[in-house]
Amino acid sequence: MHIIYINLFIFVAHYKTMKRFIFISMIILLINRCFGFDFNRTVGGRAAAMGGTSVCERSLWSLQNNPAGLAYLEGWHLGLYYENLWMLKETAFKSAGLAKAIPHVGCLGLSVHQFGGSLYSENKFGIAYARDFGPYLQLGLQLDWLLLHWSDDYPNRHAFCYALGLQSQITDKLRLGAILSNPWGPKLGTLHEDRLPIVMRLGLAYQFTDNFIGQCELEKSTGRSGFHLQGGIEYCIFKRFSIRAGAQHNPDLLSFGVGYAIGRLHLDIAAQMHQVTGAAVQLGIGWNGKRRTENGKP
Amino acid sequence: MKTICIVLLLGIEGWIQTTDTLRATDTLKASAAIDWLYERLLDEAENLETTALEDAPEQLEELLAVYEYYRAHPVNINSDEVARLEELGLLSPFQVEALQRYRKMYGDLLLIKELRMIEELDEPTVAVITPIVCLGKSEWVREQESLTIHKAIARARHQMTLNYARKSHADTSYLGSPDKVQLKYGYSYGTKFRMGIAMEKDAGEPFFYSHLSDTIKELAASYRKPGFDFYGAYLFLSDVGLTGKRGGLKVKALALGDYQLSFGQGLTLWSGMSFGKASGGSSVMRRGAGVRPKASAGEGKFFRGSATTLAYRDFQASLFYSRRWIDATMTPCDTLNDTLDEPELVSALQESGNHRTLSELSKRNTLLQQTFGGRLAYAGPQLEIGYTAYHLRLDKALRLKPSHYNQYYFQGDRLTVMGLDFRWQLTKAVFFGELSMSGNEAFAGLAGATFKPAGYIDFTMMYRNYGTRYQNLLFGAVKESSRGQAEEGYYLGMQCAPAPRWNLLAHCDFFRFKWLTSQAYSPSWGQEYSLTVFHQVSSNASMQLRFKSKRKMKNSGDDHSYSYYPIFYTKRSAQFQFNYTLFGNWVFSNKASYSHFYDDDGMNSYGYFICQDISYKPEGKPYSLTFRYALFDSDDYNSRISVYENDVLGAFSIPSLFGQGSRGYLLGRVKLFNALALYARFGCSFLSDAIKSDFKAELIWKN
Repeated sequence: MHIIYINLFIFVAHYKTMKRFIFISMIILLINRCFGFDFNRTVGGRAAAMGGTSVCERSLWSLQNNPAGLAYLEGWHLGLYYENLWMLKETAFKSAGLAKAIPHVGCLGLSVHQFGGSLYSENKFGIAYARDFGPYLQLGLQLDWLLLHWSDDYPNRHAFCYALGLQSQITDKLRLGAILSNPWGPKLGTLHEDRLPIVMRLGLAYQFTDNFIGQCELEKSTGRSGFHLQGGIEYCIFKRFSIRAGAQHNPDLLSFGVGYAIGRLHLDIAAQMHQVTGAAVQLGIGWNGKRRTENGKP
Repeated sequence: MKTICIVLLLGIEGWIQTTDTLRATDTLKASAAIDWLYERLLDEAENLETTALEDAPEQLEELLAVYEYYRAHPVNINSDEVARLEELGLLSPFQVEALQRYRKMYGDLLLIKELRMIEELDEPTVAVITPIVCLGKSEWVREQESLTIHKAIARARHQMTLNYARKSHADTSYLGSPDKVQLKYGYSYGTKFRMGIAMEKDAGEPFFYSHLSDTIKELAASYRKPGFDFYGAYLFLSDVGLTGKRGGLKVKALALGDYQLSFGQGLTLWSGMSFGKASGGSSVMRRGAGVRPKASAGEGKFFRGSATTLAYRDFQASLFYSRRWIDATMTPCDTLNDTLDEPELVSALQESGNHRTLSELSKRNTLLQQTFGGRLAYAGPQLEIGYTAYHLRLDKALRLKPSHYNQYYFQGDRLTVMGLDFRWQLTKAVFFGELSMSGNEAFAGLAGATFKPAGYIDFTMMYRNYGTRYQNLLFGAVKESSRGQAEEGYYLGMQCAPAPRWNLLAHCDFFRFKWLTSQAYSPSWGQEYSLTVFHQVSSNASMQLRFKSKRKMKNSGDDHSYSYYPIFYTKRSAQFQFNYTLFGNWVFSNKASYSHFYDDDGMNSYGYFICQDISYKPEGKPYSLTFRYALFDSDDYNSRISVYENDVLGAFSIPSLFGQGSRGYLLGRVKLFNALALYARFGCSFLSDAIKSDFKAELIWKN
């Protein structure tokens, strides 16, 4: 892990003078799979604030986090998400998502994600489908096309990725979520033997009271050593206003955030702190076809 | 919070040992509660160990003295006195509020057991506070309502404690005998008036000089007269109305002699015991107890002089002055580099309080420290705002030996610090914070909030940022470094009861040191995680699992490198404990611990510990016995295991076990007459290369 931090350190220290260096560092980071595009990164202001716990979430961003969560949506949903580490144009991550629930068929969704600038960028286009099989089981499928663009000196690389997600409301208070991404580790491009990491995530969400949720999650990725542990809480202080906090280990980040709903529009702001790199800011805005109930519960 | 938790924990232990009428299940619950509290506090003690090493038990003993007092003067739960339990750290602000709400809705409590009806009060908390609360006015309060001199003499409570300890593996190079002797006397009349004295000789400090050779005797006598090494006395008056009207001007506290001060969140002024982060929700939020007497024989930070707090309605004003000689290392002035008007300079302050060799004796009481200051506060039922300031003067300037990491430490002979703190309590949230400024215009601040989504859940978020140049010798807020400067941190903690009889505590803290530290010669950072799960299996059994992980940075031990560079090191530990009662009188407890230390240099070491405790506490008999046998095996000091051991009343012991071996101890208590209690403890460690033993005895007389 310390190599990653040293990289980060160098990265932060030189970013003004050596723009090119940034991109080399970026690639190193990418290899370390710590802060670069995490191919399976968590999307959404709520998830970011809650320490990255997202497999049990039921919102538009289940598109990327766990497609099974889409099964509970009703009507149209639209959302935009923006995340930036260090406030550089080149380190911004942008997402847009759209989902439509069709009665008796399930929920269909589309998403676009982009990270990076003109010299290096990662783009992901995805479709997702989820279906509800009664209160105890929801299943979802996600198909993405990943495109990596280097500067003009290198060819683009692309891959198809896929994920299968599951959610289950075990008791009134306890919900389980799981997702398996890329079980066969698709190859990235044709020239190299680089394969996308296989990722498995397992999470629990516990509804302590109507206005308080605790979530925890465990992730294992073949691209990263050790477990990735996450935990988060959300407290809905007023009907429309919630505060969130969370922590994750490997990498170690602490996050805080707030959520505010104005009619059908909801706004999520989060900050993920690291002692050295400072805060990464996440902003999410969403529009619900049907009025959202508390905490995204159906 | 933690402060008093310790007090409590220790207190309860004492309570169990001295109360004969308790039923065994109650005893068990209380002892489980102690362990529960203890485990929460153990890491605090470990933190202390890294900064103050041998002082930790001494500071904890100071808390014990406070506890002793509350045991004799229980708090009336049907009054506003309950807030005192919060100052002690036993209850969270929400719990106090819930208790008051309960009284408002259903009237005063008629039975202590009613406490269990309050959702906010969980099982361990109730077990912990039960011994120090009473229903209705306590005997003492009623007594005091008509105070006469005659009563003050005839009805007062006296307590005398004589404590003796000796270890077999003492260093023979010390001037004095390896015995530690402590004598304390306390007088209290009700809750309003207290006074006492304390004296102590640490192990290795000379009491008589007759056995020393003439030259040494002469030298030693020039530093100190024969007798105890430490003497202290205090006189304390609290809650005395001056106008005779309720709510009028009153003396909230008046202290003469030795005293402690703790204000606000501790960023500006906090002496005596201060803990870091105990795991759990609201534990990082402090509530200063103001002026308190110092009844222990500890030689660390305290004040000697006078202090008072006056209160008028919700407003309070405190003033204090202290004049005290402290220990310091003196070096002659370098005439080339320094001005000649300062013949001697102070190169280091000593806080250990040990004076066992001539060198240590020569540092004794060499520096005069004068402190004065005060506080103005508005302390309403919901909002508390305070302004605290103090000025400290040394009679000789402090000049540290220059080093890269102590660049911004306090130097010179004058220090001024002032700060503004607040605490705002709502039904479901408490906001708190403090901003402090030192005389060199450097700032330190902390701010946080505790939320209570439901009765059995609370969580706390806190941010702290202490400036690199910020200086404060009386710092007592949450910190990770040895001094409260050049540090930034984020804290997140949670405490909840997900199901009946289950309790869960978790916290994480991310910190960053903005300047070099003595361990790491570069700015560094780290994080800490902790998780504790407690389960009350049945009325006579409970178990607990605890996990903790901490990562920090230090210089690499790489000998081939030409420069210092920082590496990470991690210490992880896990502990499981099971307590149960058999046959009514026997309490059994098993504990197993594991620790793992590793760093980026490739160092790896492991520690293991397992023990069996057996206590026999017969009902209605004036004696009790506790026995432990433990096995431990750790590769080195890094993977040492710190365990809590039962001790004589008023003492605290947390030995650090490392190497391979076993350890056992036997602790006994006998009540000789109604007024006299004798405690004795004999412990023995069998290591591969040595056998070490220790003995402690304590005699307590009280009327």
